[in-house]
Amino acid sequence: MHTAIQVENLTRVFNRRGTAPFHALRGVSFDVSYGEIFGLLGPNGAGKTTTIKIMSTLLLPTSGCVTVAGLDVVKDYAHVRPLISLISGGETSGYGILTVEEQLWMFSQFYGMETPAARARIEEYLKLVGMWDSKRQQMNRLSTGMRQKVNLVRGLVTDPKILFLDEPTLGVDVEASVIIRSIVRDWVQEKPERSVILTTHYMAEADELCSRVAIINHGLILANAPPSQLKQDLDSRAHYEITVDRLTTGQMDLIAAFMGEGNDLVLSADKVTNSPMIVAHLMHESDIARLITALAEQGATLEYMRKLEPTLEDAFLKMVGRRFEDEEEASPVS
Amino acid sequence: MKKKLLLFLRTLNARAYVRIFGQMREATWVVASVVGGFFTMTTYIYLYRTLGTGSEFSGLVVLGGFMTPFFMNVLWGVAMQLYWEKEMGNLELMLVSPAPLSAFLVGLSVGGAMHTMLRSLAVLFFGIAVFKVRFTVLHLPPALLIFFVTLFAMYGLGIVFSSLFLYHGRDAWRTADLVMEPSNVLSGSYFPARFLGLGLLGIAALIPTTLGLDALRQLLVPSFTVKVLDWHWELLILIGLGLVFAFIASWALRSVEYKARRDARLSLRWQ
Repeated sequence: MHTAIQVENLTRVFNRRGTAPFHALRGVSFDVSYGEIFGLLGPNGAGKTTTIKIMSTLLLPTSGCVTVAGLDVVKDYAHVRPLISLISGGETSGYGILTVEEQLWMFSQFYGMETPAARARIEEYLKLVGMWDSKRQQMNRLSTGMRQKVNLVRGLVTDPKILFLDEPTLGVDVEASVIIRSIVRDWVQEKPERSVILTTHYMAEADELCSRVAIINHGLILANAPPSQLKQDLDSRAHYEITVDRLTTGQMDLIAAFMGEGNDLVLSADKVTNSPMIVAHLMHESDIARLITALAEQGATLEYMRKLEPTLEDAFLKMVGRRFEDEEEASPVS
Repeated sequence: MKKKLLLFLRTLNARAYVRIFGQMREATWVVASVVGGFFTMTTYIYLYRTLGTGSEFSGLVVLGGFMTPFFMNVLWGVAMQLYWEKEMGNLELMLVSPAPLSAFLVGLSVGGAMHTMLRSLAVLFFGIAVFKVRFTVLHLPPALLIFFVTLFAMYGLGIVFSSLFLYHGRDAWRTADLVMEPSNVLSGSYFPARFLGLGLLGIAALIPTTLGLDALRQLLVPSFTVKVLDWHWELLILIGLGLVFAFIASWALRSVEYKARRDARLSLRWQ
């Protein structure tokens, strides 16, 4: 059995008094394999959290089927729960009056762990996140980053098979984010029967961690592929940025004619040096050699050249129509 | 079965731990609650002495001061708890864990009762030491039995309330406030409940403190005569109430969990 999670034609309608029913999910389907970190990306209100809540047995679907580790989340939820763990970003769960160690022990007891085993694992993971020295610190005295590291440890201590990470690095500083990402990646690689479902606002995070990403918007999956493929599908052309010492518009027209149709060249000026800068969109990777030869023939000397790679954010923008940041500004409700 | 029982007990123990040891760290709260309880009791004792009532009235006030914190704990510490857990973001983590909701509530009831016991014993100690109130210990075993049965019924009622309060969301705070004072009056915390009259007693008897306190006064306060019923009957009624509340609590928790999954508005703060 290779499928950790199977989601088939999932729908969820929220009926709210005085307003029209809200269709949060409109037939979502995807699957997640063991050993995989699967990303769920989408703007606010796209259906990411609703999908995670259903997969983690917190919410009933309106229709459709979800299995986790081969178990139906509606009928067999009691058997699903020992196998999963949920960590949300900006989480303030637990009790501020408890110490870090006590808090983690308490949550381990909710999974029926024996105290010695729980304590050993708490020590192991607290050391891993660099918080062993803070084990006797009260929870209400921790910074956001430290708190989120404790939340991560809480999720891992019970040794789940499937880890749901809902914006795990939200509001966390760069150093803590790097540690959290590194631990998640190592954790899933440690045992073949582990999987992670990640929702994040940070495209670079999804790009770095996820073997596959589904882009969801208005309750529909728009794409489901490895990040590299999503970026590749965006535009198959090769993109370069080239700065030269001198180049006139007339010379540029000659070069464009030489390169032929389908190869687009845009001339502008470098923002720092003010030298002529060409942004080239080439049909084939090999066309770059022809372009450099043509520039040399016009007497231009290369100052700087770099290849422009499309980002996951570009793919997201193309499919959803706006960036995450735009969505954040437009919508005050998550 | 054994695995389920162990999970229940471990969850109960962990949740009780927060109440017993965690709240001990808030020393000002512990001191304030003992001092508050002592002064309320003092007010009533002086009131009865001014009115020239018998010494048994001081005894019934001290017992009232001993039992009242438990009811307050039931109301604010158990009934309101699921709502608070939801607001803190804990309810979601409780629901997603394999532990049953009842284990959390029984755990916090046990922890709450043990934590409150300290406050209540302090009030009892001050009552005896400062006001020279005397109790008879001839009937201590049945008194202890009644005390624990009353706690069982009271915390059962608290768990029923916790489901209701969670379902009513933000109104819970006001509802608890609304329930608090009338319950203090109806349970006869600082006067014999028989003075309520038959009509009100019928309602008051649904609050376990009413009959529990009346039975304790019969057994521990010498010359206390204004009883509601004989303590044997009161014990039977309390056992019945405890069982009924436990049954309703179990059903209500299952129902709340189902609603939580169906509507999402019980586990997610924004819904």
